[in-house]
Amino acid sequence: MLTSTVFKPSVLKGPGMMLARRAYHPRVIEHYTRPRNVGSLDRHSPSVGTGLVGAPACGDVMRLQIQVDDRTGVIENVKFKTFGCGSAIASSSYVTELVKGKRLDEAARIKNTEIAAHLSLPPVKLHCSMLAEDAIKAAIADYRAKRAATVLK
Amino acid sequence: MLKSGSRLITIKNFSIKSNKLLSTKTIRSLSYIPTRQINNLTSYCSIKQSLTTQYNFHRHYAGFTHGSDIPEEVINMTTREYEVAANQFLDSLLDDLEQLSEDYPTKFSDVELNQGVLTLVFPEVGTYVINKQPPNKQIWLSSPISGPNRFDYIKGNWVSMRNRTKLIDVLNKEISSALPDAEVNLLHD
Repeated sequence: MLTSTVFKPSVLKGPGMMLARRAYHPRVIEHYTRPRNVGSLDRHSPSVGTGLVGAPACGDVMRLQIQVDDRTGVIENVKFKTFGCGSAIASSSYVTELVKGKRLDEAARIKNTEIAAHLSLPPVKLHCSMLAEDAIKAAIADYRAKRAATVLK
Repeated sequence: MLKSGSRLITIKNFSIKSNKLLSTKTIRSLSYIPTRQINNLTSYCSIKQSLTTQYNFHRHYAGFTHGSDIPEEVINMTTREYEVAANQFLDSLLDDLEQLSEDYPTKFSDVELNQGVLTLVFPEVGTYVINKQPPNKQIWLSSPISGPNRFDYIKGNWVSMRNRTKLIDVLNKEISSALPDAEVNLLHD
């Protein structure tokens, strides 16, 4: 499944060949071969938010975890694990670089277009960048939900 | 669903021995599986998974990150209903788009429907990809203008759960701006 999403020239005929010849952008390959911040954080910790998005049925699942400084709201540490195509892995790797050191409200404003533009994703792969955006939003929402519960006690 | 008395039929043996025990409806709904192409966009959805979705398991893929607001009718839609609705939508869309592409060959150079993937090429704007996503019972859009979006079939329309836009409205709006001289009114009779 990791490789099946690479277009094979035999798949597309006629005008579709334009897509078939397109290879991954060097930045995608760079992130794919040397992904940043891979791993996991303690999901039970009150300062860790976990976002899990995607569908196993579709081959792309992303888990992104952020560790937040409770006082400043700054993302101190971030880890991800992604099962999916090269673009999905590169998108999540890049998004971890983007959010590290940012405040939660800044991180929540990250748009899929920013990720897609940096990685020069082709049209069929834009969905991967949206998954990365969803992952960071889900992680932030999870952290905030935990935080609210803690504060109310 | 499988009329087998008390015997549990496995996927492996019903196709060999037990065809008579299946209702025609079931056979019809299963019949598309062997012909499904595995090597295009939908390739990452394995055949095994499409068998599973036949039986209407709960969908895990959320319209948005939390997925708490998926309407019942989306969850309860059968794969057969999805196939009919999605194919019919893409086929009628293709008819209208081919006409537009013939009228404006320079600005709208190509439109192609191949195994559930509809590709539109506007040389000055970019490439649109509209594809079926059977495991989620969704249609996905990749637009050079508005980016990616996913659409569920709600009350006869393909609607995005992210921002509540209708797929057909997005296309009409964006293609109108790509072809300012054309009267774009897709899927409107």
